[in-house]
Amino acid sequence: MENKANTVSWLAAVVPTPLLAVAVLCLCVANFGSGAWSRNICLEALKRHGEMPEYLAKLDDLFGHQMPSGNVWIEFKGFNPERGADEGFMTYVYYRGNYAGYPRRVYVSPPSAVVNNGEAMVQQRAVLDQSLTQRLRIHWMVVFSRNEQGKISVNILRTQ
Amino acid sequence: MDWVWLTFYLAAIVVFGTAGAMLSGENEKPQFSHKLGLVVVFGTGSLGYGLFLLALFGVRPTRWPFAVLSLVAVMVAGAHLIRRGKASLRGVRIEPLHVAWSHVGSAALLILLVVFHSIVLVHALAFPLYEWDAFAIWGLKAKVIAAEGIVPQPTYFTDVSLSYSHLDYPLMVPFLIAGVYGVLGRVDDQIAKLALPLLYFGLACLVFTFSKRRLPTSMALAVAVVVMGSPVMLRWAGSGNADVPMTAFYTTSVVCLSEWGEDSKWCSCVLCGVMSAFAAFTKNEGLVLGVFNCAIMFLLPIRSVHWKRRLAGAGLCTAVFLLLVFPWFVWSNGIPHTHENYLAHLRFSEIAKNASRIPIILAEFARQIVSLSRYGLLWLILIVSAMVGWRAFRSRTTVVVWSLLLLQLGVYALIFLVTPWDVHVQLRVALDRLLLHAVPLGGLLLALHLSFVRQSNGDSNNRVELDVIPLSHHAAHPSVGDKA
Repeated sequence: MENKANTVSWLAAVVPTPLLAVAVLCLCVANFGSGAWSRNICLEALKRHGEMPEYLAKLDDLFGHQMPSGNVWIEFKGFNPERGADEGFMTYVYYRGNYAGYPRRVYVSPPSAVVNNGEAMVQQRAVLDQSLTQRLRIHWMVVFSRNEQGKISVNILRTQ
Repeated sequence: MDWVWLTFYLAAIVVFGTAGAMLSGENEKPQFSHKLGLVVVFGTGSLGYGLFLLALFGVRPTRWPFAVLSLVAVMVAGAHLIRRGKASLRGVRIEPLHVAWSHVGSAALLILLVVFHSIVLVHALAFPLYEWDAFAIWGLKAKVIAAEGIVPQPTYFTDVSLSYSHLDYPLMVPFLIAGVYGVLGRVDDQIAKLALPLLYFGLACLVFTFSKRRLPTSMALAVAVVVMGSPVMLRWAGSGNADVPMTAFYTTSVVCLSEWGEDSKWCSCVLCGVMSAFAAFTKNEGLVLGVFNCAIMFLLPIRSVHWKRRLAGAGLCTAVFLLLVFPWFVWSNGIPHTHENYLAHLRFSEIAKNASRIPIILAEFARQIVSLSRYGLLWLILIVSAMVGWRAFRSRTTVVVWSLLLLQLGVYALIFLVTPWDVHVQLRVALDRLLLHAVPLGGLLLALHLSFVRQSNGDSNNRVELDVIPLSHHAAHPSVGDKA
């Protein structure tokens, strides 16, 4: 009985401080070690001097400034939605376009189509016709084309 | 010039927060970090919620509402101070942070906390909203609110072609961002995240204070470092997502709940209700967690000699919670639920159908818990300290916080059980952010268990909270009122 009490007492004396010390050291390695997210984000911030990442800046400029008025329709050519990277790109463009272009709207499908995620967006894509152009007040059509080498080009067409 | 206007924004947070800290009353031994944490978290939550209430009356978050809001708040605070006279000023006692500067360990831990906060600050203010959820869900809503308000309801909220942005999600973070746009007079999604590092700071103060009441300063700082420096916390705190704000409000509500269990002051249960409502207004998970808080409140009267007071407190907390979430429910009633709508999936047939997912979910939970690159050693040392400091389970506070943690993990497991999406993808994408909500609770439990480990070692320096009921308004009665 006394041994048990001694063991508990010994554990109580020994456990807390080293336990916390190891946890703190482990955190330092996890946060500041090579490849750690915290380290990378700080390096990235120092490198960019407050500039936006290039891909974001291009998309924001495209939807925010190059098409100053009216709604936008997006078409994707040469993309294979079965490929994760392609679907990710298409989804990012649609989401970012709607964010950067607000209060104007960016469409890939009629507004009645429920777009819950990238997969739904890819599946519900439609072709722009005259009635949609007028009904949705589409002023611009942006065509993202991907060639066989994987290079992506952007064409902006005026519809109205 | 921007910073002049942003001062209005920060001033509104300070004024609201100070009012909240006054509401919290005088503790037996008030700590500066406790007041500071409460000022920041309560102030930020009140600002977001206040802007929502104003928007319900058709007032968009522009510079004018901010000026008027700040003026009214200053007048109310001034009137309160004058009415209570100097006694009130004495009530807001500022006790310096007792860091033993001679102790290298404490100083190093404090520096580490500052470094972590700097990382969050850099992430929040040196980058635009670039995370998918940050701009697609929260940033887009903030733009809509800043440009159109919420009354009459903008067409955005019923536009199903934008339902990827979760039209029915709560609006605390969008209102906080829209508030920045309002005072700036333009959209700037880099400064937009100003409130997020504040909430991170407030959360750190509250975790530290909770630990400090039970442990020596160096150990309390270590617990705060383990919680606030967990990689998943740093990753999301400045991103523009709503997870860390929700975590801050929820953790504050749990701290208030534990204080109510210990000192039985009415202000603790009112604050618990307010903070639970803020959490519910930040993320849908917060609504469930708020309901858990209220349910636990109603369990506290069991085996309590002061069961009438406990029951009344539970009623008060629930009433405050419902009162504050009611406007949001009414306003959001017509928004189409085209997305997950987990409530509709919570049927026994659905759960039984997906029972085969249970091993997958449990395995992923276990994998996450031991992931050093996400949570450090937090969960592992919590398990070890719970085993060594098992005596803490005699304390009602420990039982309450463990119950809340297990309920939280249980409901998150249930979400994955009924999710209409591919459970593997959902687990990979969302589980770390969901478990992030529980990280501070893990820290609070760590402090509780370690305090009992030290107590069993005969160390009487630390103050171990007992479940006591004050007989008078200001003094806590030194007898145990409830049994765990």
